[in-house]
Amino acid sequence: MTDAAERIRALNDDLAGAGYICGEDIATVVYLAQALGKPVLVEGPPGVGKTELARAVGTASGREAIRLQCYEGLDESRALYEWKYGKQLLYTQLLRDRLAALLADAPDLDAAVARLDDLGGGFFSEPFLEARPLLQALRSEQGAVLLIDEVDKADPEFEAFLLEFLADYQVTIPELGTIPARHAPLVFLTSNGSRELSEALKRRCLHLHIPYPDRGLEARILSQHVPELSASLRDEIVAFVHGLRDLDLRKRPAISETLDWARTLVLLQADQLGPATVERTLNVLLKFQDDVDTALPQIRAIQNGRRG
Amino acid sequence: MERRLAEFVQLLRGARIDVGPAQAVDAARALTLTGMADRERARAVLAATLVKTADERPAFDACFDRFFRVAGQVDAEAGGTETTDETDEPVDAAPGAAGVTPGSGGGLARELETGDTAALEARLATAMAEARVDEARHWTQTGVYTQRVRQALDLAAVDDLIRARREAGEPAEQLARARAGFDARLRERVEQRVRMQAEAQAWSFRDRVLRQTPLSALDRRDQARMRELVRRLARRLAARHGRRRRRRKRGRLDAGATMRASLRWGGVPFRPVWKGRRRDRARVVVLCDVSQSVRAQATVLLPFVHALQDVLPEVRSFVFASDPAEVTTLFRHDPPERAMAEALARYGNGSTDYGGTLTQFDLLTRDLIQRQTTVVILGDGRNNYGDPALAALSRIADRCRELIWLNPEAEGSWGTGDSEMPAYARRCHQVLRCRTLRDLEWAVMQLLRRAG
Repeated sequence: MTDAAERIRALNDDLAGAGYICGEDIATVVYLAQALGKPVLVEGPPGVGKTELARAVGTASGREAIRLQCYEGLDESRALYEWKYGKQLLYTQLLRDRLAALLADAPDLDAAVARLDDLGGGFFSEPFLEARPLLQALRSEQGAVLLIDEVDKADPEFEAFLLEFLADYQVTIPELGTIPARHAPLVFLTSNGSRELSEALKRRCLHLHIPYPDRGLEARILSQHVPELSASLRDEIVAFVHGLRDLDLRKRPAISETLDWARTLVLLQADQLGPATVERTLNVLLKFQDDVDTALPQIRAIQNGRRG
Repeated sequence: MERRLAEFVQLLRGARIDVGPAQAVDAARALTLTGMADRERARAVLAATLVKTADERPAFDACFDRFFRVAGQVDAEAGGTETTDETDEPVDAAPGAAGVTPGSGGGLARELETGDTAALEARLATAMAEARVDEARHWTQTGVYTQRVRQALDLAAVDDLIRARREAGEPAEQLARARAGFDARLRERVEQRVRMQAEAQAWSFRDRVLRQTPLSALDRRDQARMRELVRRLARRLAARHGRRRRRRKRGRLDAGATMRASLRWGGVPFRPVWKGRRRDRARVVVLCDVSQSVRAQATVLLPFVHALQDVLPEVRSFVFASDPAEVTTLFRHDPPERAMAEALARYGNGSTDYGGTLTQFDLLTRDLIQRQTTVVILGDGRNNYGDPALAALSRIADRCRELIWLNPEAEGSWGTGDSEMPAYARRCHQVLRCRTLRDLEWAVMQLLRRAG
């Protein structure tokens, strides 16, 4: 038990080493995913580092990180494998003479077909196979970290296909047979909740919800990613962003926006957050003009709230 | 530990968090890995394995706090020692046997005297399981179950022992005190558990009832719950219909285009070309009575329709008491409760005037309502004996694809008093009753079938 606690702590440190700072709960779920061999479904508002988590786990564990971006209309040929049609066509043309020679002395059609079969897979063999992310993950030498990004954007059909893939970690290619995983990949699925995922998929996954970070965590993330930032400015930034999140906005600023803002302020060589500076750079934090309009009159209030 | 986990899962199910057996097994496996010693870690572990959406998290946390406050610390100790061998067999066996053998009073008495809290706690947990406290459904059952737990523990044997010692002149006071203390804890525990279960039970029962209660009869407390229900319903409908729409996307084979494309491959139809589905400019226009009489239904319907915007291509909504006013942007930008309050405050006053409203609405929506539009009117059709403006309604009905009227009154009262409903109904394509949430669900399903 203490063993598990230690490993979780070590994992947390490794993730921090890979540039991903998070609370114990995230490390716990990642640990469980490794120990139980289950995929993780990561949810949370955009920009809180869902995708980044998978990358960091890849870096921390020294495994290859493979990403599959989902979109409406994504199908197996994009996600799993495809034959290199162009290459097949080209090779048949180039090898036409050789094939003709090979088949020239065949006495009849059956013999010619048998001779073609003897060639082995021929044009449907390994060199003509284009591996897409899912197959790549299965064939990875040391086991991959597979990120299936924004799975809610994909069609329900694809989701059903994923279920099968996640259950056995193997795929069947009719021409080649079944390909099992060399090492079961560690799978992360992310969702922005644009569509309700199927119950079956949710049940198969560990669930991880990443909320907006608390102040301490956000300050640590900031100092990790923007080390040029002075401590006082960092705290001011964090306090201000947290104040903004309390407002009623269409898109609240997430960590990625905070980081962009911090970098902007460093570029502008600001050493403290004056209302003028905030006003000028607010569009880095807020992505909708409506939100900027809502926030502008509140800047002073947010900053005073911080002092008071 | 496994039994406690099973109880916890039961409680979660009561709180409408749907936990499957496979998930429970995962949770058990995960817990044997990490142990229970660290309460927050246990929470993270259980949340990861048992909770499926962020929506369920608050309910989960509430359950977790209640369940593990009861025996959290003690259970943690028990869990800690257990991880070496994965089941709690030894803990199980001792009191299980103790319940039947006559010497058991001795074991319990010894633990009472030595104040071995962990052992007592384990004994109590076993006894509660034996007495099937988890089957209690109502708080009035507390007494019965307390008695059963006492029997399972064989407290009577301890009492006998105390009496015997007193008669023999031996010191028995310490044991008697310990027994009283233990009994108090027992009562408290049983009561807490029964109450917890009763609440969970009441919760899911309330939801069932809510769906059949007339919307106008909801009190304020129910309304919060109702909003939650509506949101769930909307998401479910959205998921289902979103799916159906996508499946049809591919359309039919376009023979001409396929032939043309096949010229590249010497006439072999290598790549079939599909006719894209014609993009419908389907629209839903809602006209909602927000005068006093229909307000409760409007409060449910408008947010509902707007929650469906993922599926319905375009929703425009109008509210009226005496004049129609568009509230689409209001609902698009503000959370539904605030938008609704705003709409009511701005437009909800004045006496109902269906005739005037329909005439104006007809003029306002001359361009908006076209062949592809579905129009939904929510109202009781009570016009204060004014001009019903039937001609205006006919014009709207002719212009749109479908005119659906939702009426919150029971069919029996249509046409009584100042209700113009029968006349209006003849001019609509469909008239549906929407007294309860279930009616409303049905109505919206009809709507989706046509507009989706």
